[in-house]
Order: sequence, then structure tokens, then C-alpha cells
Amino acid sequence: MTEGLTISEGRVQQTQEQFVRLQDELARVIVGHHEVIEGTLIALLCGGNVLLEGVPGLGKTLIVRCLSRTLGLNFSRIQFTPDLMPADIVGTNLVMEDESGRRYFEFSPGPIFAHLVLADEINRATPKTQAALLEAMQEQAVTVGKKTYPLEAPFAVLATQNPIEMEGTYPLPEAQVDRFFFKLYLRSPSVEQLEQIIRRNTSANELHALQPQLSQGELLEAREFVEAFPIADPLCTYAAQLIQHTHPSCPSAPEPVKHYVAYGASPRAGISLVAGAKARAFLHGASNVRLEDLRAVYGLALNHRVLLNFKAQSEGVEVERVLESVLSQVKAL
Amino acid sequence: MRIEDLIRQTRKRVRLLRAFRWSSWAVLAGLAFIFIYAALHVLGLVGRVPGARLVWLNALALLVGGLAGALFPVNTLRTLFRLDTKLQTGELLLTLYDLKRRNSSSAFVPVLERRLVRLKVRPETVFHLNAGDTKRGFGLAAALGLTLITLWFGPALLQRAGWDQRAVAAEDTPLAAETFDPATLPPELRDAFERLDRPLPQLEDNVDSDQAQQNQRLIELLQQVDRARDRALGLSNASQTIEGDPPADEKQRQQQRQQLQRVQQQLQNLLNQMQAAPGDEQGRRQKTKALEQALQALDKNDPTRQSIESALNAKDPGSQQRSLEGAQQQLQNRLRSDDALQAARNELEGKAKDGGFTPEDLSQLKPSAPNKPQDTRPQNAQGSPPEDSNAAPDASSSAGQASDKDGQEAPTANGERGLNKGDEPGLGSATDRNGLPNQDYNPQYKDARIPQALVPSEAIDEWLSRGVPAESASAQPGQGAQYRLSYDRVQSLLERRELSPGLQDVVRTYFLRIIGQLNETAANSATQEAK
Repeated sequence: MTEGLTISEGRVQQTQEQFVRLQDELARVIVGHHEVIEGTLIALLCGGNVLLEGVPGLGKTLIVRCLSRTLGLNFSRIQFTPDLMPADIVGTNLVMEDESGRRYFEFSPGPIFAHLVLADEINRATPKTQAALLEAMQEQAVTVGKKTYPLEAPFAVLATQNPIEMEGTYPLPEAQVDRFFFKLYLRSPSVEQLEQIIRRNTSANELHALQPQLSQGELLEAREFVEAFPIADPLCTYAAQLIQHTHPSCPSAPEPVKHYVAYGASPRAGISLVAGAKARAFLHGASNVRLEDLRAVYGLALNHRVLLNFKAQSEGVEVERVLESVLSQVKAL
Repeated sequence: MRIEDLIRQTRKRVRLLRAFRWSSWAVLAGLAFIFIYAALHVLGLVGRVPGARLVWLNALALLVGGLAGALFPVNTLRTLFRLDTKLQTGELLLTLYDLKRRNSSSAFVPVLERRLVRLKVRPETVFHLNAGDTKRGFGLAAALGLTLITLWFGPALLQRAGWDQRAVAAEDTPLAAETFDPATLPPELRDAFERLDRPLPQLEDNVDSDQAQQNQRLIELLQQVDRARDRALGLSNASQTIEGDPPADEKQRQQQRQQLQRVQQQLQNLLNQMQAAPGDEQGRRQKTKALEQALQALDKNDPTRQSIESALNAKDPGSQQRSLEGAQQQLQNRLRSDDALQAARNELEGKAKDGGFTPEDLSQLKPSAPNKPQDTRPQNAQGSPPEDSNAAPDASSSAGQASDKDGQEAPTANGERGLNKGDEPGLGSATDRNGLPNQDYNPQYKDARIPQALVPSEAIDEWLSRGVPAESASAQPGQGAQYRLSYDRVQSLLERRELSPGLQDVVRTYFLRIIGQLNETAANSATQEAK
């Protein structure tokens, strides 16, 4: 924690305003998807990675591109296919020859070496390749041979996943899904939004007109602010209770949890919940974590970490309903 | 405002509001208790509790509720969270308080403090006597008012509504004396009345006396009443003491009562005949026969026999008529005395029931065995038990004798009766068995002392238990101070003393018996004059 951090209220406000402008800038190109954009920003502020799920053509790649532009960050895209190898992601040692003819290995960084990495259709790569990416996500570094290469901060992976066409795919194991800070769902646009999307994409492309609103350093500074953001103990307790109540073994868990949940949320979910609440409070111009921040982030942080059982699947019960029952039951203070 | 100041203010207001709220709840709970208790009392499941106690109970509940509300610790976190929620400050207060409490060195503390200053949070905007609290206040006031109305006016309303039949019946009882002049009372009786007007501080203290002792006293009192009834009906020997005279059973009393009623009716018929046809020689034999039948119907020790015999032996029709009227009046008075005593007994039984008597106690309340022939206790020199050296014959046995021997009682100008020295109000005249004026009070009442728990003061205790003095201290022999009695006056005094209805009945009975005695005395005077 940054207990000793000197924070100027003016500076905090200034950074918060920069993020407001950033979202406005993104809105010039991206129609709708406010929740996805905010969720992505929250994850970025917390140093987390995001799993975007949605059918093709909803603008997943566009969101990532726009973010990298407006944040002034490097961006790379990896299209995951079954034959994609780990080296294709992290890079490899190439045999090079100097002027004197002596050969040596030189590391050629893969596309993972960027600030924002779009892992498109991550579920199409083999588990081995997925694991390579997930290791980078977790460790913020890659190891090639005997050498470890740190990834430059800020680093974030924005993976996409297509819920249809599941043939020939390798669904991410639960343990790996758990490593994503948020799992965000892209919904189909409304008619009005669709009209706007069509109009914008058939005229002058605004993407190139996007201006960076934050520098790399400012983003890192914002991360420090968010990390230091104060949260009252009772709210932390509330977050812990929310997590605890997703477990069917919890005596006071609501009935839907007891009936439909196979595995409750992990401690990592609690970390994501509180950290995400801090980032959300920051983005909303607050000076401390509020109850509403916890509740807003709760679904994003837990929806991919609570595993439903077969009964739930057979009855068509969605995880959102189960999470809602927990939120209704657990009261703050 | 600093968070410390805000917390202090908030706690103060929370305590204040909580004290208000809790006290209102406590009073409402007390009221509910009173109403439940009253319902149980109406159903006869519990005894009566003095109204003042209930008022104090509610006052105590108010105090305890208020104190508990004010002194109970305030959950600051919860309070600040509520404040945050109401003021929509986004858990700023909660967070700041939590950081301060933990002595956190967070760089955001100054930021939050500055925000707090800008927000200008005022706890009174959340914790104030708003509509809800005001309603509670109104509810509290209404509840208190209802309590007072119930306690102070409830009994009177119930009486007016006819719920308390005994009270209504007592009000409807025709009384001979309607006015009262304390100045006309003998000094001791006057003192007793004056003491009645004084406050009764020990009223509350005495209520918690030992229940078993109280029960025993009630049983004794019931037995006294039974014996007094026996005397009124002529079922017991008048020369026996009240302790040594085992009460008769109820069946015997009813039979005796019917017998007396028949004789009274017989005498009344004779009187009617005499008034209709004065000097009728033809009917003289019939009258003599009827009087002889009446004498046969009466026990040989019956006190009314003397008057009937006087009528039988009368030389002229006028004196015969007066003797008959006297005898008829005596019988009427004895029956009325029995009525009043029976009412008192019923009340005492009700009190015993309300007082939580055990089955064993209640078994003692049942009518006693028939008369035992004689008191076997050792007699003193005068032939009566030691504690009864001053014993006077009871009203029934000696009715008509007091004025014969000592009294110069005569109807007053306004029709009210006077009592002469030696006239014992209550059950008997204040003469000993030799017919001499008694210098003390009727000892019957000494043992019929009302249980201490029910007696508000020594004044009432003395007044009720010892009776009216037989002779005023200042009165010269043969010049007994006359006085008049008023049922209303006594009733008002009793009500002011907050006496229970049962105790009021006892006192009422006492005065009814005085009036009965007055009538008897008047009848006897008339007989004497006739002679």
C-alpha cells in the first residue's frame, strides 16, 4: 500500500477529470458499451486483465484499439488459432550472426510485449498456448529459455471469447478464468446505437482522430491513487461477506446459492471486488470507496468466478440471478 | 466541522432520540401490561392493584426507558453509516471515522476532512424530531392520558355503566340518614373523621405485607361476619363472645331468615288489621292467637320475643299496636342487618379470591359447621372469656334493650335519629350483659380488625375495628352527645382515601348497621313510651 504517498487533492481531481475526458473521447468512436469501457478502465487502473465475451462484430477489438490510442499505450493483437504456439506470443530466441561471423542468440519479443494486448478468441488456442499467455498475465513477465523478461507497465491483456461456434475450441479452465479481473459481456446494440454505428463506420473514420488523454506515467500515477484509495473496514467486511455467501457451504447463504452453486467465489474475487470498487470510486470522482461502488463492481468481479452446478444449467439458472440473491441477503453493517 | 465534533453531536442526538423512543415504548409496554392485568382482573384471575401503583409503574417505565436510551452505548459506525446513507455522502463519514479510529496515515485523510468541511454535514437534519418522532411523542402523550383516564375515571365510568353491580346496588340502597354534621359527633368519632381527612402515607407501604397473614386475617374476618349474622338472625346465644360462638351453616341461616320473615309478615298483617278496624273485639282473639303463634315460631331466646310478649300483654289497643310496631321494626332491622352482613361477606369472599387464596384457604371460607353448643374456654370472673371482659351483647340479641336501659334516644326534629350514650353502633348496643353502659368500644370489632395490608391508616383501622365510642368523653351520664350520620359523606371520604370497593363495603355495612341500630332504638323508645 501507499501509506506514505503524498497525495494532492488537486492532483487526484485532475487525474479523475482526465479519465472523464478519456471516456468522452472513447464515446466519439464507440457507441454504447459504457459498462464495458468503464469495466475495462477499472481493470486497467487495478492492473487487471479483462475477458470480453460477445458475438463477433460487436466492437471488441475496436474498444481495445481505442483504449490504447486514448491512453497513449502500445497495442498489439494476437489472433488465437489452434496452431498458435507459445513462442508466437512471448517471442523466441533467434540465432543471429554478428559482423565477425560469430553466432549468438537474440531474444525477439513476441506480441505480448505491449501495454495492451488483445488476445482475440483466446479459446481457439491450445491450452499450452493459453497457459503461456496466462503466465504473462499473472507474472507480468515472460520466461524464454532461462531468462525472464519483465513486461513494461502498464500491461493488460484484453482477451475476447466467442460464446458461439464452440467446435474446435478449448474453453478456458476455471482456474485460468479466475485470473481475469473482470469478465465483461458485450451486448447487442439497440436500434439507435446500431444506427449510430452504421453512420460512423460508413463515413470518415474517427478512430485515427482520437487523441491520447493520458500518458503512460499518468496512468501509473492513477494506479497509485487507486491503490491508496481509502475504504472503511465495515465495507471490507461487507465485501468479504458477499464473497462468503456465494459458497453453498455457508450456513447463511441464500437458497439459490445452496441449490445451484458448485463452487463459490475465490479470495481473488474478493480482491478484485475491493480493488475494482476503489477504481470505480476514483473514476466517479469520489474520495473513498462507497457502498454503491462495491455493489456496482460485485457482478463484474464475480460472474466468472462462481461456478454453477448441473442443476442450474439444466434449469437455465443464470449466475446473475444467484449473485443477485446474495446481494439481497447480505446487508452492510 | 471536524469528524470528532460531528461524532459527538451525532451521539448526543442519537441518545436523546433513543431515550425518547425507548421511554415511549416502555410506557406503551406498561400500558399493555395494565390493560392485560385489568382484563385478567375482570375475569377474576388476578387481584386488584391500587391505581396509584399502576401510575407509578408507568412512570418508572418511562424513567427506565429514558435512562436506558440515554445511557446505552451508541454504535458509532452504524450511526455514521445511517448518516451517510441519509445524507448521501457516499460513506465519507464512515470512512473518515474508520481511518481516524485506526490512526491511519492514509494520504486521503486530509482529502476526506476537507470534503467533510465542504459538505457541511449537520446531524440534526437526520436525527431530529421529525414527523415520525413527533408522532411518537403524540402517541406517548395519548398513552399517558389514556392511562390516567383509565385509572382515575375508569372505575366511576364502570359503575355508571352498571358493570360494578355491587356499587350500583349500594348506591340504590335507601338510607335513613342523608345528612351529616360532624359537629354533632362525639369527640372521638369526630377525631376519627378528621383523621380520615389526613393523607395516608403508609397506604403503599402496607400493601406488600405478608400474603399468608393477610389471608388468615380475611378468614378470621369472614368468620366474624358469619357470627354477626348468626346474632342478627338470633341463631346464637347473645351472651357468648364472638370468638367462642361457632358460626352456623348457611342452610340454618336461611331457614331462620325465612322464619323471621314469616313472623314479620304475620305482625305486619296484624298491624294492618288493627289500623283497618280499631277496637274490633271479634278480632282480638284472632290477634292473640296470631301473636302466640308468632311467639312459638320464635326461639325462646329470640330478642324480639319481649316486644311481642309486651303486645300480647298490653291492656289497651294503642300500646299493643306500638309494641307490635316495635317488634315488627326489630325484625325488619335484623333482616336488614343480615342483608348488609351477607353483602360484606360476599365482598370479602371476592377479595379472598382476588388475593390469590390457596385451595386450603378457600376451603376455610366455606360455611362453617353448625353451632356448637357452648364455648368451652375458661371463663373469667364475669363468666365470659378473658378477652371479652368488655363484651357487649350483639345487636340482634340486645336490640331494643339499649334504649330501655340507658338511652334517651328520640327522633330529632328533622327526622334524623340520635344515638345516646351506651348505644353501640354496629352489631350491638354498648351495654354489658348486666345492662350497664359500656365504657369501651365493642370488642367484637377488635377481632374483626381489617387486615393491615388493606388498611390505609390507623385512623381507619381504629374506626373500623373499634367502632364508635359508646360514650363521649365529655358527655355526662344521661346526656349522650347526639350525632347524625350520612352515607354520602362517608362514601365521599372513603373514595377520597382510594379504598378498595371491598373495604368500602365493610365501612358501608358498618354504617348501615348503625342506622339499623338507630331504627331499633327508636322503635324501642316508642315501645317504652307506650308502656
